[in-house]
Amino acid sequence: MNRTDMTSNSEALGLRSVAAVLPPATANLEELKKANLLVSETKTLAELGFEKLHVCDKAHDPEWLALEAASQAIAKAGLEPGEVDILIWASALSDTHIRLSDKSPDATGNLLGLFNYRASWLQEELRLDAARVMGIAQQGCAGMFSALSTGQAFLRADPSIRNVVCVGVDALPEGSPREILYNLISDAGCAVVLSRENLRCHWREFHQVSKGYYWNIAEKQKEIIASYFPTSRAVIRELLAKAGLTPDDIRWILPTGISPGSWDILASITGLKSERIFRGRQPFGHTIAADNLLHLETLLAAGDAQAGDLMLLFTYGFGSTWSGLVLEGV
Amino acid sequence: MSEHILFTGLTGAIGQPLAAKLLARPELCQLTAVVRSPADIEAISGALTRIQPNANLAKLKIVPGDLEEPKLGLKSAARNHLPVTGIIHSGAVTKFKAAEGQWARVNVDGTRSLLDWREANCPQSRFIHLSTLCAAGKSMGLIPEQPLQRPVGFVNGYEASKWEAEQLVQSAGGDRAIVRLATVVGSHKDGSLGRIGAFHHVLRWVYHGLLPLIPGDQQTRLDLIPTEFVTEGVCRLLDRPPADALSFHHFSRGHASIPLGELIDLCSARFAKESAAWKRGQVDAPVLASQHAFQEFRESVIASRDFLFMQVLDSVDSFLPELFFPKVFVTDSLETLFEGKLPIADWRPWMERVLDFSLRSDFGRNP
Repeated sequence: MNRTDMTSNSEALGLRSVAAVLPPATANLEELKKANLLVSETKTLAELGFEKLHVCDKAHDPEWLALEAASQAIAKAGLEPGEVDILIWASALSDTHIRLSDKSPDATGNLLGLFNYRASWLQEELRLDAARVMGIAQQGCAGMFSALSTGQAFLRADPSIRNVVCVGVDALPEGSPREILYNLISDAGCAVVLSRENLRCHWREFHQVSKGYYWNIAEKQKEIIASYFPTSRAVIRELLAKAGLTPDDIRWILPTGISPGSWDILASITGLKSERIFRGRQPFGHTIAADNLLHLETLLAAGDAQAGDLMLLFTYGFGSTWSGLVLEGV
Repeated sequence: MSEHILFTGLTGAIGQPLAAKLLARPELCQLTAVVRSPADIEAISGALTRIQPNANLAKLKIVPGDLEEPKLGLKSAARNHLPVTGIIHSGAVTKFKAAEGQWARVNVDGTRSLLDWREANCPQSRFIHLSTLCAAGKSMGLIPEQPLQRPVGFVNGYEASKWEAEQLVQSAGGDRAIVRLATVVGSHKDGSLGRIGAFHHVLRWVYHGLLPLIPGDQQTRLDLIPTEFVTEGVCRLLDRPPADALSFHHFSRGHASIPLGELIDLCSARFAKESAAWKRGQVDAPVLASQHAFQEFRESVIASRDFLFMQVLDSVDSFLPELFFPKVFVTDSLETLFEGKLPIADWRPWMERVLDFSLRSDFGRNP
């Protein structure tokens, strides 16, 4: 196995801390069906491996998720607010990027309110006064992967950047259906500190493919479902090839919260070992962007990942974007 | 000798090209085709002359009949006055999904009725029974050109019914040949096929990017043959001297069957010439999946109850799981029939023509 896990200038980069947060309120399939929030029958979703989801409420809204996740990640990293150089906010839905004003004084005020970005709000809340702020959008469930990739690229390109905080938050609009293409959708937030020192995981390799052909989800939803396995396989194979790895080298597969059976299929067609799929957490549904990081946080907290263990994180996002990341335990 | 052939299955995939070929034989005096819906005669005649321009339609007599009915549903006049020297039984329900009991009624009881009719009317006639390689069911390994022991199982009821029909032919007397056909997917000349089946359905799903997985691996092979392979082979069987015996023939590629992975690559390359989405790499070819992974996929589709994917699964599930029971069919008898050399040249140019026809005809929907 090739352990060249450093950047081109031989400096280790990677994840310094991870935090993922689910809102405490839950709903099971029967409750969701009763509230008319499912598309499929409860039996169908149960057969696909879903039990319950986590949903925001007034006290635990998307901003609470962002604050909790980012605060925890920064605290775990042992950073002072002023040590954060870049803050990247990632959300799949455009509304989640905007902090809607509770006041609508006039037409101009409404228009200005559309520029009330949550990334900037979060910077202010956390007093990240040295940070540059930006957002990642239009990536569906792959948004957090793109944020991490962007943060990693900053670290690699600019030696003056020490720490990048990536925050992913997704919550479906209140009262909306909680099922998308046979997946039960939970609200969640997550945050990662990318850094140069005190790392928990080294960044080994990243690979991402976007196919605009599938942009029209309503029209192409069947083709999107069918494209998942062939393109996922191609992306994972390319990811491993770029990293100089074989499927056997991967010790941990950190899945998304989509149907567990689909991960067994994906493991099989990529040559990965399905027994290495991490199943150490109670099912929480599919959280759009936080799934893999919920698992990674659990894995790291349990101390199960050894130094040198290779971890594969993979996801698909509407758009369509397939993303894969290999990390190495420190 | 003047031939009088009784023929079933005229409207099937192999029925039309076979009938067209027979109608061009100088030896033929009359081809009596038992057809369930004679109203289609005009369309049938047109198809026959398109396939074989020198087919002599004047020798074709179509009589109403039905393999599902007692005594084939033939009217008494027709029953008593057919001067038959040979019977080619190609009629069957070949769908891999059929209504309850339909395989048994048509494929088994229909064969029994036809054999009874032969015994009563023309016991000396040569009986050529078109069966299928699938009659070997879940058997694996080398399959000889002999009676098949009952396999450990069948992938579907179609296979079982064809195996049972073979038992009936074996039990009958006189001059008989059981021909086990590989999957016929199109003419060697132009790739066309009168009536498409599971293979073309699967191709269509692949082209439209709706089939993610195909069961099999790099060792998996497909036994696909051109129409002319069958029509020429059956005519050669008719030309043999009479014999009071039973013979078996595998109309198969034998050891030269087509690697599934290479076939998928060929399809992808051809589709890329036709479709911008394929050319730009936006649509990926389906992935070969293990039996276990395909079973997981099947279960997830069934769990989703998604109508479209259930249709996709129907096409695939009934046809491709057979690939998990690899076998090689001995073709010694067939090679003798073809005087030493099977008519199976490089499969790629032929398959290109099959794909051309498929794309041109919207996978057989507008032939």
